[in-house]
Formats: sequence, C-alpha cells, structure tokens
Amino acid sequence: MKKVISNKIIRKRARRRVYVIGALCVLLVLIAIFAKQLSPHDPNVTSALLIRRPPSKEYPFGTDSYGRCVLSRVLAGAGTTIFATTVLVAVTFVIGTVLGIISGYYGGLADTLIMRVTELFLAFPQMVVAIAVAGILGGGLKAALIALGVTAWTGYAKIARSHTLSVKNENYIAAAKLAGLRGWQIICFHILPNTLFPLVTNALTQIGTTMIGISGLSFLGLGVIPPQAEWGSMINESRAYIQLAPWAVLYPALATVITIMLFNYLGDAVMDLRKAERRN
Amino acid sequence: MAENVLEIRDLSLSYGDDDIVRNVNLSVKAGEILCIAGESGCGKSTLLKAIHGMDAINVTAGDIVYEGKSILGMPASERRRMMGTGIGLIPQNPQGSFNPLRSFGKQMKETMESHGMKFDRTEMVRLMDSMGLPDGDKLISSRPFELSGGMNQRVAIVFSLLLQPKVLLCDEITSALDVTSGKMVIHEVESYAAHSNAAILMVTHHLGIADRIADTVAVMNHGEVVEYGPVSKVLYHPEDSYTRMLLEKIPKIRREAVS
Amino acid sequence: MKKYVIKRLISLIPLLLILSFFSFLLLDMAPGDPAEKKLAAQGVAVTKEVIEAERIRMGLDRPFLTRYFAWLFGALRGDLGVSYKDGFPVMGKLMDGLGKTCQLAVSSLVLSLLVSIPVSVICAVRQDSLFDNVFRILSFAGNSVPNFLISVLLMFVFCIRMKIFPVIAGDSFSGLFLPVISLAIPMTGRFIRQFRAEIISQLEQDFVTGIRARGVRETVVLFRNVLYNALGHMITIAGLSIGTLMGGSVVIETIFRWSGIGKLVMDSITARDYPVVQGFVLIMGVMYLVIGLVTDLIFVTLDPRTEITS
Repeated sequence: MKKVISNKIIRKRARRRVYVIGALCVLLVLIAIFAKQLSPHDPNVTSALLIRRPPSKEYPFGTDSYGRCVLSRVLAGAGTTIFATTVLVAVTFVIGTVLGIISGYYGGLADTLIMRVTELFLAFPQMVVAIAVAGILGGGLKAALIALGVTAWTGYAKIARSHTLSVKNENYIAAAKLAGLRGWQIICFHILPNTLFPLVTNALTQIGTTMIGISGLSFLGLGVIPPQAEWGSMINESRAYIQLAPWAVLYPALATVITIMLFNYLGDAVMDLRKAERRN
Repeated sequence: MAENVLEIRDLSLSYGDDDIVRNVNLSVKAGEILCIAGESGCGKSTLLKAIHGMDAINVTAGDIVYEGKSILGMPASERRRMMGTGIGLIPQNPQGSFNPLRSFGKQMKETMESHGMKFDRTEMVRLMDSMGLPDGDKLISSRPFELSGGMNQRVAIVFSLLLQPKVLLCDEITSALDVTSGKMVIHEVESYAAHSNAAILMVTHHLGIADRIADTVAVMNHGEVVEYGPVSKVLYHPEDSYTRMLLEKIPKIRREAVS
Repeated sequence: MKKYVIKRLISLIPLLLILSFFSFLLLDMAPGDPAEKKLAAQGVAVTKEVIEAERIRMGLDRPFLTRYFAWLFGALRGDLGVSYKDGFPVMGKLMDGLGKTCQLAVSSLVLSLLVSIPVSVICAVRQDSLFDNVFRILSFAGNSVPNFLISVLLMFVFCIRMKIFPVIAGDSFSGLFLPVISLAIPMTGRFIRQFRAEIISQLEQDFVTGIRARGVRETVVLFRNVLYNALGHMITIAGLSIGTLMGGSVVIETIFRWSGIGKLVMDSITARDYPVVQGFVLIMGVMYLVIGLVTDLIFVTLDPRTEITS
C-alpha cells in the first residue's frame, strides 16, 4: 500500500516550491529592470559592417540583419514584455476586482448589470477581438494592451464576486456593520483581504497568457512597433533569414519560452499551495 | 464452534503521521452482529475504512483476515471480486454510494455483471418495498440526484444486500434517516444477518442500536478498544470507566427512540 | 429541458445584438475618414470632391444609428458590404476562406483530442507514475509555448534543415501537416492539463469509493462512471478552446500562407480593408456564441442538475 504523506509535509513542500520559483521570477524582473545596465551594446544601434554575425565574445547572441546586438535586444525585450504584462495584469486586476466586489457586496441592480456585462465579454473569443481591435486601431503597444485588456478583466470580476458573496454573511462583517463601519471600509478592511489570495493566484496564471498574447500580436505586427525591441516582433523580423542567422530567432524564442514557463510554473505552484492550505 | 469470517489482529493504523488506531483485536462469526461504538474521532470509521481498503490509510502493524486469508496482501483483482459479495459496505452518507448522474438500474446491473451475477429487477423491487420504498419499478429508472438523501440511503442498503455479502460493514447507516426509516433499515439488516447467516460489523455512536441488535460490542476510545465482549456484559456489567460514562447517556437515547 | 433551450436561445439575442454593434463600431474606431480610406485602398487619386461624393455614396452623411441598422439588416440577409480594396462582397470573401480555415481548425482539434483524451485518462488513473510525470512536463511545456514560435521552429527544422516539407505550403495536403501540428501542440498541452484535473476531481468524488466497494470492475468504474461524469466538462473545455483556435489560425495561416480566413484578415488589416475585418469579427463571434450554446446544451443533457440550479 502506498504511503500517505501528511498534509503538513505537502504544505511545506508547496511553500518551498513557491519560494524557489518566486525568487527566479523576481530575478527575471530585476534583469528586465536593469536591462540597460546589463546590455553590452545599445540595442538600437545598427551597423552595416556587423550584419548577421554569429555569436562571439563581443556579441554573445550574435547580431541581426541590421547589425544590432541580439543579446542587448533580448534584454531590452524583457523590459518591454514584463513592463507591458505588468501594466495589463495590474489594470485588469484592479478593474475586475472593484467591479466584482461591488457586484457581490451591494447585489441588486449593480450586481445584475455588472455580471451581465461580464458574461457579455466572456462570450467573445479573446484573440479574435484583440487582433481586430489592434488591427483597426493601427498597431502599437497601447492598442495591443487595450485589445487584450477588453476581455482579460472578466476572470477577476467573477472570482472577486463569488468570494465576496461567500464572506459577506459572516459574523464579523455583521459586527463591523454594527460598529458603524461604512461600506467602503468593510470592503477594504474585511472583504478585500479575504478575496486577495484567489485573485493573486488568478493574476499569476494570467501572466503567461498575457505574455503569449502580447508577443503574438507583436509577431503579427500589431503590437510593439519596430525598432523597439520585443521578442515576438524580433522573431518575426528574423524568421525570413533564419537559415542564415538562426541565432537571431532562437535566442528571443528561448527567452520567450523560459519566461512564460517560469511564470506559468509560479502560477501552478501557488495554486498547489492554495489547495494544500485548504486541505485542513 | 463456527469459524470467524472476519478477524482483525493487532491492527494499528495511521493517516499521515498521526496514529489513529492502536492494537485492535476484533472478530465476527457468521450470523453474528458486532457493534463498534464510540464517540466521533475515536477511530471507528478509520477502522472500517481500513477493512474496505478504499481510502489511503497506512497499516502500521497487524492484519485483517477474511475467511482465513489476509486481505492486506491480496492482489487487486482478487480483492475486487471479494468486495461487494464477500465484504459489503453501506457508507455513512448516501452521496458516497452512487454515481448521481446514472440510473439505479444501470448501476445495479453493472455491479451484478461485475460479479458474474444476473440482475433481477423483481427481486430488487421486492427488497425496496420491504425497506419502505414503494413504487420501486419507477425508482429503479430514476437517477440518484432526483431522490432525497434518506431514499438514497435505503437504496444503497438494497444494493448491498442484493450482493449477498458474507460480511456487511455498516457505517453510521441511520444518521441520514428519520427515526421510523432508521428502525426499518436496522430491522432489515438484522433479518439479513439471521436469514443469510452473514456477519455484520456496525459502526455507530448510538448505543441504543447496539443494545437492540448486537451480539457483541466493542467500545473504542482514542484509537483503542477499551472494552469488548457480549452485549450482556459490556452494556449491562461494564468494567471500563469510559464505557460507564457512555452508558449514562443511554436512558436519554432510549426515550428518543421510543418517542 | 425544452424550457432551458428556449431560455438560452432568447439569451443569445442580446449577445448577438451587442456583437453586431461592436463589430459595426470597429469601423468607426479606425482612425481617419472611411471614404478616404476606401479610396486610398483602391489607389484612387484623392481630391476633396471625390471624397465628398464617396461619402454620400457610402451613406456616411447619415446618423450613426441609421447606418448601424441599415448595416444590421444587410448582415441579417448575408450582406456585409463590399471590400474597400476590390469591391467584392465581404461575405463571399470570408466564406471562401472559412472552408480552408475549418479544415485547419477541425484537423487540429481532432488531433488534439485524439492525443489528449487517452493521455489524460492514463495520467489521472496512474497519478504520479513515470508516464504521468513525463506528460505533465510535456503538457506544461506545450501550454507555455506560443504557437507562432512552434510554427517558426517547425518550419526551420522540417522545411529548411530537413527539407521534408516545402517552405510555402500552398494549399496542398502535405501543406496541412505543419500548420495543424503548430495549432495542435499548445491545445493538446492545455487539454491534457485540464482533462487530467477534471478526471482526477471525478475520481476523488465519494461515489467512486462506494462503487468500488461494491466490487464493480475498474474499467466500468472508469469508463461508464468517472469518464461519463467528466464528459460534460471536457466538451465545455474543447468548446471554449475554439476561441483560441480562431485567434491562433490568424497567426498560423499568416506564417504558412494558408489561404484561410485568418490570412485574409491579416492581409485586410495590412491593406486597411476594414469591412473585411469587421465581417471577420462578426462571423467568428457568431460561430463562437453558437458553439458555446451547443456545448452548454450538451452539458445540461449530461448533467441535468445544472439546469435545476441555474
């Protein structure tokens, strides 16, 4: 018979995993923040003499067809991707959470209205809407973020609402009401702290999806406008001469895959931790 | 002297790192009813789980023997064939018995077929009737989620009895039922033991039930059997202080049962 | 059940209205004057008089809502306007591409299901085995790689290095292979993860213990009970993935030059031929809504408890 592992050990392991992966993600973010300082060259300086050089000591990832340093561009791309993702996740998090809590806490007409709108946005295919909106707005990072954000907030709203509903009738909320706290005070001090963990978990799982979306739009030429460095658009620029300079595609590809995997893994680890915490 | 159908020898169980049951020795013969009594958390349900072996529980010491054979080391296929027809189980909550989405008839049929038996609809209807479930023919075609918990519980007992187990494990089977249905069910289990010469191992916190149907009683406290013997001895001349404390609640229980 | 179907059909009406409104609005969101864009797309020399004449011909002098309803009634009859670029009806252009896109989408969906269903069943039944761990890593990886990246890498390996497939696939059958794989890999990864989780959650239901305790054969427990109960969720997951598939096909068709609706829409975005983009959103949206409705109805048929609670 299989040995049963106690919940305590499962929790401990889950927590350790979150710390390790979390530290790696923080490291990645730091790299993105200090991209300028870490870059050996200016990511945007072109040179006719240095076109498609294979990786060397001076250019560890080689150069692209404009003679730009691929390593510097990958580092700069990390900044673009992580900045854009953070902005999008943060904005959709706040909008979705506020709407979800209002909907759950006040109920009634506000609830009906907000939930109808949420269902509405959930009913449309995200990437199709994003491509069309970004395409018609004429590209650019801002348009891409709006295009992806149109549907991304709905998840938070649903989670925030259901968790608000589940704590709304607890005794301590009634006590807070009797103590004369106002609606927004109860929301800030009592409801928000109790819904934060599932919301953060959702935000973490959204990071990977958002990155895939941003790089996909940029790849299509609907996101970041060159020459600004972004992994998706770098891959698109370089794929035409992949035979001559595979490094110009492979390094941004590798960076994309590693980053998305790391953040997806963090999301998984936090979700496992939540499950382990709830087993008690 | 009749053979023991089921024997529990020096059994110790743990769940994770927590020891739950220590050095338990119990046995039941054919036609005998053994009640394991104790308050919640005493380990009686864990003991039952170890016997049917469906949940992950560590056996740290001892053995469980069915008809002279250890069931702990039994190959999965042999154990599967033994379950239901050899050792039957009536779980505590009715949600634990059936797939909520498939009709009782389909589920009974596939159970019988798994054991190479034939599904006899009229026999099932008859048994349901004796369990206070008239209109059995219609019930068989319905799905568990369409019925109340109490009705599901009684159908679960019908399922168990139709398989003719030699040992029937009952886990607090009356807890989902009202007093009348509870009595009906207990009566049916009791008469099954008498007619089919089956052994019953019933876990209950209800000493009134033990008094009514049991031949032998085991009282458990903190994972150990504190007193074990014939009903006349354990319930009427208890030696252990914990048993005595439990028994002080009995008059109250009896009054409840009568009203 | 009948009541539920009618209720759901009625709830579709406002969604369709909003979708059509949003699609119509898209054209107005585009920067610049539509008449000017149309003429520019056709390569006509633009003067003030020509634009003004075109504006009146396009009905742009009428109020917004009037134009919307005129467009909506046209759309209901299958008229989505004409392309800025060549003056052909948008509906016809989209329908030409839709067939090719469906080839791609259906093939990759079928391939993903054929792989992910058996794999996720084995993973769920043999949890934490070697097989489970290997496929958990693979499905995690597959789920984390954007499909444009997969297709670029596949193209590099199979078309350029190994020369097994032509670089420009055209619309041949062998050309179907790489695009389908590119779409199928991330989808298979996602399916394995979600199916596995769903099957495990069904396996952990109390009733499984009850059925096993009656000695029911394990194959019956698994196929007629656990998988039967998981089926509704699995169909829902597959239905939702069609939205991702629609977006993915735009990327993949562009890379492999597969002349489906996705490539058409990218070409139209480049050419600023916005009525085609508008029609694309409308048709994809309608298809997605209908698929969502169908999967919901299947779910309720399999698990009538949801109808009672909703």
